[in-house]
Amino acid sequence: MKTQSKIALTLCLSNVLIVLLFGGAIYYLLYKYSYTDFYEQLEARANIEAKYYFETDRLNAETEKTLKEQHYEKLTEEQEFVVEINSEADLAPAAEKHKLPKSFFKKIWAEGKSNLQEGSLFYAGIKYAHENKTYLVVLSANNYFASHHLSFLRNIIFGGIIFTILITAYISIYLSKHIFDPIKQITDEVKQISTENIHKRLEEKDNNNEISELISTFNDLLVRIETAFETQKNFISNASHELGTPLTAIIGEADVALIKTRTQEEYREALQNISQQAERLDQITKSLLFLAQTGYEGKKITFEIFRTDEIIWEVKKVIDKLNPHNKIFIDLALLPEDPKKLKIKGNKQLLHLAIANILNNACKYSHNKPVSVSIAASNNQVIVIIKDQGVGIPEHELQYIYDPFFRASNTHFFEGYGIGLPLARNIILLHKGTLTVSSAKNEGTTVQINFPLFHVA
Amino acid sequence: MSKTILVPTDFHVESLNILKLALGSSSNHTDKVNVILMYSVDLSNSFQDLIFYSPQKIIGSAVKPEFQDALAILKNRFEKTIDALLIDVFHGYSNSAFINFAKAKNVDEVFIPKSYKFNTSGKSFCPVSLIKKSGIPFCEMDWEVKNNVSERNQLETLFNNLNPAL
Repeated sequence: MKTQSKIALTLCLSNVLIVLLFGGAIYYLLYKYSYTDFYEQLEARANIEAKYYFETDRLNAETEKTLKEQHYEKLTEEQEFVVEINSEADLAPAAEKHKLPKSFFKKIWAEGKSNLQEGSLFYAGIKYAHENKTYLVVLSANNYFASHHLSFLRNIIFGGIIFTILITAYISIYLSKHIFDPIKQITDEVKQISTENIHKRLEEKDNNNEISELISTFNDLLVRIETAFETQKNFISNASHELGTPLTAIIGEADVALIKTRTQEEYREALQNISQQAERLDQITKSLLFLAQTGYEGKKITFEIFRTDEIIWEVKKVIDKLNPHNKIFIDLALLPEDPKKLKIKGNKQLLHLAIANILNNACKYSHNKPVSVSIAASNNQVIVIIKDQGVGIPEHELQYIYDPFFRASNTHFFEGYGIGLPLARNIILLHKGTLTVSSAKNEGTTVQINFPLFHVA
Repeated sequence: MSKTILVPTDFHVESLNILKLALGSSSNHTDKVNVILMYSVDLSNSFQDLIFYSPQKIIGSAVKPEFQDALAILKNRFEKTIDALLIDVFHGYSNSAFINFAKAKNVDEVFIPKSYKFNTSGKSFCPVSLIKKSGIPFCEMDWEVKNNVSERNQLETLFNNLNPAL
């Protein structure tokens, strides 16, 4: 069952139930009340009747009668009779005479008064003692109110209930349909978005309700999906290009060498070139593998505790060997006095790789201009800031720098294949750290790495 | 014997360079240093604000997380030199107000920036001219100031010097 019809049904049923209870209660309570009231009225009349019958002296009888006729409204089919009863034995013949059940008379005799309903006629009887004799005064009348007014009320309530049910049903169906209108609209719009038109977005509404929140959530999701899509697309094209270039070189070199017989020297040269390109290919695949491995966290990595400055000195030593012209300057001006504040928990090999990548980039893209590495610690993190004076990254390209194989537009004169930074970022994220890159074209790049401080107890 | 230094601040990371340089110059001595970071701000005119006046609230609303990080870095760097670090609010326009403030805090020396211009957004103002006129010994600190105001609150502004020797 659809939520829409569920809501309509619930709304309708609950309303019908309330209306039924309400109408039923009114009818029932009024019905009850009209009976009690009518019997009381009959009893009171019986009392007056008895008084009139027995106690008025004959002189006033005429006046009394006029008064009665003037002031008492006659009830419908009102009748009265007085029976003299001397003993219980007189009850049965009296009951027979007036065609009333014996139990009614008995009850009046025993309790002093009683009520009875026979069809539409209502009876009320009282016991009355006068001059040492006992009489039963019985008054009967038709309950006009119960038989006419109540049935009229019943009709009104029934009609009202049916009318209300119809209106409720209409309103619930209408409401349930229109409550889901915007959602249905969203569903329709989202259905139209496929891989071909992933740039399409839902139309944002101005009002600040749940629906517009849903819409903006959808749009955010679409942005992320689109980015992932783009990255994937770029990755494949870049990867095939990067892997293809050395392969083309190898094939070309081999083909040229095989065209005719060459001297030993020429063969050596060709094989050397081939070997160089193969090595490059090997390096790319290896770093790709590393990137993939650090990308998911499921893999077990052994963590140890060490000082941040220690690893930076080690990296500098390695870079000094590979690139003796580097000008890496380690700035200790803000190094905390307490060495405990430099301890972090991590995998040394991986962090070594990450920092070496960043430092190598800093040296490479600045033609060995000075690079400063500052280390500092706040109370819960260790901060490493690497500044260079290199070519920088154009501002609009900053968002792509973590895409594998992405290379900024001003880096064509530098060798590289765009895996280093994503790899470094993966490693730092693995250590629950953050990597922030800010840069201005031709002014230099600043990389800030924050590691969570390992608190030594 | 410890001495008390007063350093004005605008709660931007870059202004902490004054403190960095000041502490750097005095860390050679074995003396402990009490630091008072002075935030100069106009007192509100509204009586409701004055009823609920609280310097902590003024400071709390002006301090950014980057500033706190930078301050923590400096505290760690000069752990042995800094005896106590206090952030205080200064309201006042006149010379004597500042002299009273400095007297009440037992200030021995004041450090002010030379080329750095304080960010006077909101109700805060620049106390440098007041300090210069007060007659209390002051020391001017200079470094390479960033032109871009939006960069002033970045943590890296505290690490601004590439070693010129290299």
